[in-house]
Amino acid sequence: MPGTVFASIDALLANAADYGPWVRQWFDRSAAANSVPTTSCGGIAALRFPNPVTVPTPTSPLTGVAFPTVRAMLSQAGIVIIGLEFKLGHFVIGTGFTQDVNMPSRWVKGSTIQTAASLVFLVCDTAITGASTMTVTYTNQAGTGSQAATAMVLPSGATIGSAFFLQPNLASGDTGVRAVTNMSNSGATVGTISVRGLLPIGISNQGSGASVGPAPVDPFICSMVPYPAVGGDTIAAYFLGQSGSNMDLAAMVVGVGDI
Amino acid sequence: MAINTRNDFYTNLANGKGIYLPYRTQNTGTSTTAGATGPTGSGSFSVEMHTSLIGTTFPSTLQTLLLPPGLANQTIIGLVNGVGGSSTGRAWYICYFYKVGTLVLTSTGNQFTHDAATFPVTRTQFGAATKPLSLMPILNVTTATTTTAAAFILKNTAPSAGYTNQDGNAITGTKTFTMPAAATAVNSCFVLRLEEGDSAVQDITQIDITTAASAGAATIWLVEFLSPIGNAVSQMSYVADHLLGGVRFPDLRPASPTSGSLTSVLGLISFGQTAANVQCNGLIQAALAA
Repeated sequence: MPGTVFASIDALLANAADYGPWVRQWFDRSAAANSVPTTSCGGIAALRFPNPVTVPTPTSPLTGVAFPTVRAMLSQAGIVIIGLEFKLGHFVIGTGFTQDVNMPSRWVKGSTIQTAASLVFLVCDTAITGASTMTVTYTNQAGTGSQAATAMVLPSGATIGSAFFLQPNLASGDTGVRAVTNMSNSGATVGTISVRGLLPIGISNQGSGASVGPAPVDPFICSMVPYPAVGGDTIAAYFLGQSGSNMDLAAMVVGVGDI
Repeated sequence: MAINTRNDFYTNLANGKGIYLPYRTQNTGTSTTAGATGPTGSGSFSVEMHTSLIGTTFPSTLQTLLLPPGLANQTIIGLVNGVGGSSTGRAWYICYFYKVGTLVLTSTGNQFTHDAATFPVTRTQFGAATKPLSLMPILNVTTATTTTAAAFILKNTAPSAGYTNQDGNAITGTKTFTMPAAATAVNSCFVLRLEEGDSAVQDITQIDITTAASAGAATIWLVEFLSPIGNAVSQMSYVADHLLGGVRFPDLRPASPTSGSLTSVLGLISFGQTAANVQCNGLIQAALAA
């Protein structure tokens, strides 16, 4: 069943040897300097790198991909989170809200889990004109609908790729988002903002001005959930900690086919 | 679900019953290094408080790291990583700062004003729902001192008790703490001196200023360590995995006061060096325990 590939190192080796691992390296660069939030819209500067990676569809009998190894390196100090990204909904200012996908069910450690994103962001898909006050209505981690996040007051002129961490603004007692059912804007006049949920598969954290020495954090060596991916999934990279333009990312994932 | 196994921890995270807390913190300015050791010094440790880069204005507004609101259940921290911006190694900890009161350094006598919250602060420990925490007392200079190195003892002028120690006993201090310099900078932090045999405090009740400065004020905080993040320097990241080793299972929620409203700040503390604008970044991962 999916998820068994993490049962042991031998299982990983066997699947890698029998079916061949999927190794994907990529390089990406951010564009405009990401906008700096306040404590009312996330409390930490963040951006979404513009060019995510698509998981290929594995060949039968493989049904999914697990990631024992994830590595990332950045040109600035901060945190890089590599994750399976799900665009839950988006709002086109002047047009309105569109619901996209919901967080999926996945096999985790042998059980089917209805996931909910605790790493959830508002992302500026385009540059924003004006200062947007965004509201988000969502279904929480327990399946309770019509939950209202505290309004996110974004900085004026938020740039493309800027990301704003939503978890601190969730309704009292909530920690995750399964689905987004509505969004609204006041204050901004142009732009598109989406809500994206991230299931982290690897974390890299590095220090001041350095591009060496990031300690990898991935499910094989640390207590992270070993989320499996399926063909067509999006692997995205988020940077948190600073504002900067032209930030360079070098990343790699190693996937082992899961049956 | 209740967490009985590591798999339950992962299940809760996957279900969205988890907390991801990315952080970037900094201190500010250059604080004064701890001065002389010996019976009347300011100790051997230079200490610095690091709070959220966004929202903090030292020394008046210390922004706590943002948690999702209204966490009703205990949380268990699984994974902590961090890397410090200092080029020189120092010991770092994720911690809670609990504000116990303020101190005037410009007059002699009883100059400590306790906050409205009643201490001790408590957590559920070993099955006891409100067990007092024994914490590390630090002084944070909020107005720089001038002219004279202020000195004080943890006692009332009567004399009577100045603090409650780790055993819950009221203690009348005899040790003199002296600021390291007549001009001790804003944001300087020092560990307070306790009596022989004492290692922590549950409360500070009074402080007797024996030598006053011409200017100066401070805030007294009690510090609860949640997780180490090693001797982080700018080139080296550190990971603490509380599920796989170094088991401590800290709760990300603050402790509770005995009564009243408690000022608590989730941040970082570092020991050993002083430097301006040292930033530290990392990620804390925790799951709800139910």
